[in-house]
Amino acid sequence: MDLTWNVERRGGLAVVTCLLCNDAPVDRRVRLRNELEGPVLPPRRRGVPEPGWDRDGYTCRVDGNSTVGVGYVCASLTAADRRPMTIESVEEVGDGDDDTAAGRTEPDDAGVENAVSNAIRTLGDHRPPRESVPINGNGGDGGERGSPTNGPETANAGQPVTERRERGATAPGPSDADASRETSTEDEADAVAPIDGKRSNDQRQPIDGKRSNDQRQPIDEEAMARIESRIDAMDEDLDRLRRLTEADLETAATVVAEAGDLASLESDVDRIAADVDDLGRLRDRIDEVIERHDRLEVPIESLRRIA
Amino acid sequence: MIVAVVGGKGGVGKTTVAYNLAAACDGVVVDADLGMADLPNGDGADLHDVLAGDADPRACLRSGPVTVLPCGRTLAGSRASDLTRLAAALRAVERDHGVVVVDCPAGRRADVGVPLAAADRCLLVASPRSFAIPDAIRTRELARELRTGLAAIALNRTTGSPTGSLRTDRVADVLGAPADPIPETPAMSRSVIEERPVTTGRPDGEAARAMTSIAKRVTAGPTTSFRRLKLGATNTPHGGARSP
Repeated sequence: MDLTWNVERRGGLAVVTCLLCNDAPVDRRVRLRNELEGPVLPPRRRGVPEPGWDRDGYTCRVDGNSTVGVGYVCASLTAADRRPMTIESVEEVGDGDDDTAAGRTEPDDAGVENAVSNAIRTLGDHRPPRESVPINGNGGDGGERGSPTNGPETANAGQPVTERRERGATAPGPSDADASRETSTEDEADAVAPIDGKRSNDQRQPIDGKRSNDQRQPIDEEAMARIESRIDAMDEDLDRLRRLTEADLETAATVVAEAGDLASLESDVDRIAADVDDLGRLRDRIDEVIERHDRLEVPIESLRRIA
Repeated sequence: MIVAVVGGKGGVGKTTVAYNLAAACDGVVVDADLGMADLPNGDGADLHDVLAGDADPRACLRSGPVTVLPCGRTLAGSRASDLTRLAAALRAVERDHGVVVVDCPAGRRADVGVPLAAADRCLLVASPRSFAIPDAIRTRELARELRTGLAAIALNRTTGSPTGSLRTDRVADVLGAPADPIPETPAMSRSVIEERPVTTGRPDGEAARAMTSIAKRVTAGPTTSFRRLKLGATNTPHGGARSP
């Protein structure tokens, strides 16, 4: 059994991809253990982890002479070159054995939980689309839950757990309400949730730390200027880092000295990567809004005639 | 015992049958139609709050001729509902009240699959009109995949023999479980709105007799499903309805 792996760091997360190659002609069951610090964030469908995953790793079946891809995310701060997974055990499986991961890794008495998770994973999502849910409860929805409130913060406080969690998972942006309707898949939101919750507390609110209470206000000049200056600052950061990539030793030493030491340079790199991630999410959202705007035709002339 | 009342199509009378079945079994009816609840509700906490982790299901029960665990009417509540909490909630009510009848929504989405997966058995409500049968078959298949036994079929609103309606024994053959016809009577139609189940309002009526028969079928046999006793459900669809 051969395990090859790759770890990519994205916004404070380790994105792990592995290939598990069974070079024997027999089917084998493999147990992989996560070696990175921090919890395993397994791939999910509709918020439910895929079968075979648990807190410490993954168990799967690999057919004879075949290869299986395995991927997960770990909220790990350890170095990227560390081996992320090790093979804990390998055993041969016969034809008669249960070949589903869920059947192997979970105890028999968890039958109902198994069946429920399976139903959530495989059947369609029951929830109404996010766009149909009034943010502040004043959209004619009866409002027993999202009762009228004064702003997004209080609206969040009144929301039940799941919705709160999703909002926590969305990218920080100029408009909380818009960001909460971002187009990233639910699964991504789930996977990122624990990190984002922490992240929102730190100082790295790159775009606009102050969240407007009234989401309908036009974008103010000051906020735009802040966004632009932040992007300019990132440009400078990137110039600095580029000097590292093509530099001789002397230039590199200068750049490191400018940053303080290697550790602070490393944290700069992480911070910039996270900022870029945030901007990417914002760009996606902006693209979506622009596209929606371009598709929209408001019949102002007709309305004027009727009026 | 947890009984899921399912039926692929909307409007076949799942809610009315579920309400009257709970009455006939002296159980609790849970309105699990998270998006379009229609069992009576009150001002207090409801299933949306339970599934959001904000309320104990036993504290949400609304007493009446039939004890109801109502469901909220808001989209936000529906959206915030975490279905992974449903099985534990149903079990908590079951521990106190014995029989729990779950009124499921239409369709084949997770909000039908989860109560089905959590239930010990299910009752399929079908319309005797032939166009409704494909949906009933799909729902039976879903129950099979989730390994929930089909206890009986309630063939709802069989009045006279309108053109295009199917015979009860034919439906039973097709769906593979005993079927009972429930005639369309005013008492049955109004039972939910007036909160007067047919078995208490008109115990000698045709509809009441049908509901009693269905209740007997549904509650016969061991009260806990094999799955909950021992077997682990797997991803492999496992055939065979288990009639008690």
